[in-house]
Amino acid sequence: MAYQAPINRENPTLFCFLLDHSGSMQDLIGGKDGTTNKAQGLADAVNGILLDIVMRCSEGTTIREYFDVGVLGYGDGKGSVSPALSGALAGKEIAPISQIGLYPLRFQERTINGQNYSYPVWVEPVAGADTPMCAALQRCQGIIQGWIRRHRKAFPPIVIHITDGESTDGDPTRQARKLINLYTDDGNVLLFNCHLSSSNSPPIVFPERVENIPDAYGQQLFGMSSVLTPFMQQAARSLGYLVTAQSRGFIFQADLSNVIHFLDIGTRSTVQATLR
Amino acid sequence: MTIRLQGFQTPKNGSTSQECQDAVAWDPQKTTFAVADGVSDSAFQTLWANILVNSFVAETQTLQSFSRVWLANWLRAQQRVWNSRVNWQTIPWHGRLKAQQTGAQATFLGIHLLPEKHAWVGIVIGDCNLFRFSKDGILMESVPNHRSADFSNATQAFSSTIQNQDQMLSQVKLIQGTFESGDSLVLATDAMARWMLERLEAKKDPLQEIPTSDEPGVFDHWVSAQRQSGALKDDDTSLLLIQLDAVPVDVKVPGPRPVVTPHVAQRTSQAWGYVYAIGLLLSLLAGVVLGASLHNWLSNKQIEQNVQKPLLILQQQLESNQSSREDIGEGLLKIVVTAQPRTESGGTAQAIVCNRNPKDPGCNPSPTPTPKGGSRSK
Repeated sequence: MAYQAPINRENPTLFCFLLDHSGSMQDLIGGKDGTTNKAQGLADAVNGILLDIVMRCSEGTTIREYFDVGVLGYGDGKGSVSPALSGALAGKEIAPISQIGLYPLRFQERTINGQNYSYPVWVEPVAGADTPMCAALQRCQGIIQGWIRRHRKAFPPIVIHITDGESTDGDPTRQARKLINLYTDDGNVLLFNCHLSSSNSPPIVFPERVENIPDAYGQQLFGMSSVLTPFMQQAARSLGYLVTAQSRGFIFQADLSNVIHFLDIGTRSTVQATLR
Repeated sequence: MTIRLQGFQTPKNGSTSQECQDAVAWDPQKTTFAVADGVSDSAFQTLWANILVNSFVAETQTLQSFSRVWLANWLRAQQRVWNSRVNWQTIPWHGRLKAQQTGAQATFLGIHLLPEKHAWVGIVIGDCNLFRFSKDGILMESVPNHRSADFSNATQAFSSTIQNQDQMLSQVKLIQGTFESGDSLVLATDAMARWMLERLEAKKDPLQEIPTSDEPGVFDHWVSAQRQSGALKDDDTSLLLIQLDAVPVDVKVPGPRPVVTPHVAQRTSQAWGYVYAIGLLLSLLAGVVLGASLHNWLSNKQIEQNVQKPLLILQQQLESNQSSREDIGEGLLKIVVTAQPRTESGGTAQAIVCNRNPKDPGCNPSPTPTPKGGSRSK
C-alpha cells in the first residue's frame, strides 16, 4: 500500500513549496482576513509551517534530519523561477531541515499571553510580475527527479503549490502530470494546489468532482491535484472539512485560514502520521 | 519474598540507545518500579522521562497508597527539577522555543509493591501498561488498557510545564491491585504493551514468546524480527518483568504455561481442557526429570555462573543492612547484599537480573547497591 513509509533519518522525505510571486499577490486576500495582502499572508503561512516542521524535528540542541525542504518562488521577475530562501540559504533549491533551522533569515518578536517569543522568518512577501506556472512546475520536476534518485525508498515528496492566478506560460496540466508521475517505492509524488482569492466568494475545499468547480481555470488546478492520502483525509475531517476517499488536495478561492489548514493537512499530518 | 527482575530495552530503528526516549527504573529494596515513555513531539523528553522514573522509585517506598495531594506536590517538584536541568542559556532558538511552548511530555506508570500485604499501588498516565499474570500464565489484570484497540497515537502524558496542571492531574489514574505467590508483573511501554495484548487476543502467550535470555542481543534480535513482520510497532520498546516469589534461578524448572485471555478464560472448551491436562502432566514429568538433572549439575556452582553474561546481577534481600559490590568483568557488576528479610515468612536470597544493552549508558551500573536503570539524561 502506498504512503506508508515511515519517515526517519535514514528515509527522510521532501516538502517542496511552490509560491506564486506574481504582481497580483499584492492584492488583499479575500474572506474575513481581508486586511492582509496575499503575499504577506502567504509568507506568514509558509513561515509558520516551516517553524512547525523545524520544531517537530528539534531534539534539544539538535535538529533531526527527517525532512528536506525546497522553496521555489515564481513570477517575481518576468518568467523567472528561483529558490525563495534567502540569507545563508540563498540559491539553495533544497536544504535539509537542520539547515533551515540553523539559518532563518531573521527573527521577529511576538508577545503571546504576556510572554515574549522570538519567531524566525525564512520567507519574505514578494509580489513581482507574471505567473510562469509551467516553468515553475518544470523546475520542481527536475529537483524532485534528482532527489528521488537518492531516496528511492522514501515517503514520496509532497509539493505544495499556492497561487492566485492563471498561468502566463501555457497550460500547466501537462507539466503537472509529469511531476505527479514521478514516484518512489512508496508511491507517486503528491501535488496539492491552493488558489488564493481576493473575492469573498465561499471557498471550495477538497472537492471530489470537477463539476464542483465553477470555472475552467479552477478545473485546471483540480485536474493537477493529487487525491488526499487517508491520513490527510482524517486530518481534514478533524479540522471540520467534509472529505471523501476521492477528495483532491485542492482549495479554490481560499482565504487565509484555508491556506493555513491546507499547509497543515499537506505537511503536518504527514509528519504526525509517518514520523517515527 | 523473592523477586526476580529482568529489564529489556531496544530503541526504535535508526536511533541509538542514547536516543531512546523510554526510561525504566527500579529499586528492589524499596520494591518500587517505573517505566516512562518520552513523547517524541516534545522537548527534552528523555530527561523528563528519567526524572520521573528515578524520582518515583526513590521517593515512594513509604506510601501505602497514592493521593491526589501527593501527586500534585510530587509532579510540581519534578517540573522544577526539569526546569533547572535544562540548560536554557546554551540551547539554540528552536530547542528553547519548543521547551518554552510544549515542554517535555512523558507517559508514565509506577508501582510500589507491598509484599506484606501481597498488594501493589501505583499511578499511571497515558499508555504505559501493567500486566499481572498468575503462575499458570493466566492474565489476571491489564492496566490501564485492556484491548490492543485502546492504543492510539494520541495519549495523555505528564508535562514538564505547569499549564493545564489541574487537567493533567485529573487524567492520572491511581491504580492498585493484589498479587499472589508465583505471579509475574510486567511493566511495558506502549509498543510492547500493544503487542502483548494483540498476542493475548490471538490466544497466544506473550510471556512464552518474549525471549528472556540474559544473553546480550537476544531481545534486540527478537524485537527486530517482530518489527520486520509488522507485529511490533517500530517504536522505543521497554519491558520490566517482575517475577514474585520466583523459583530461584539455580533450581528453576520451566513449566507449562497455559494461554488464557481474560475474555476467553471461561469459554475454554472441555475438550481443550483434557488436551491441556495431558500436556500439563507430560510437561511436568519432563520438568521433574530436567529439574533433577539441572539440580545435580548446578549444585556445586554459584548462582551468577548460571546466568549467562548478565550486565548486572544482584542477589539481595529486602531491607538490607550490609552490602558488598564488585566488578566481575566487562560491563558486569555483582552486588551481594546480606540482610534481614522483610516478609513475615522470611526471605531467601533474591536474584535480580538486569539485561540491557551494554552500550547504553543508562544501563551502566549504579554506584550504589540499589541501582535504578535507565538513568539516561541528555
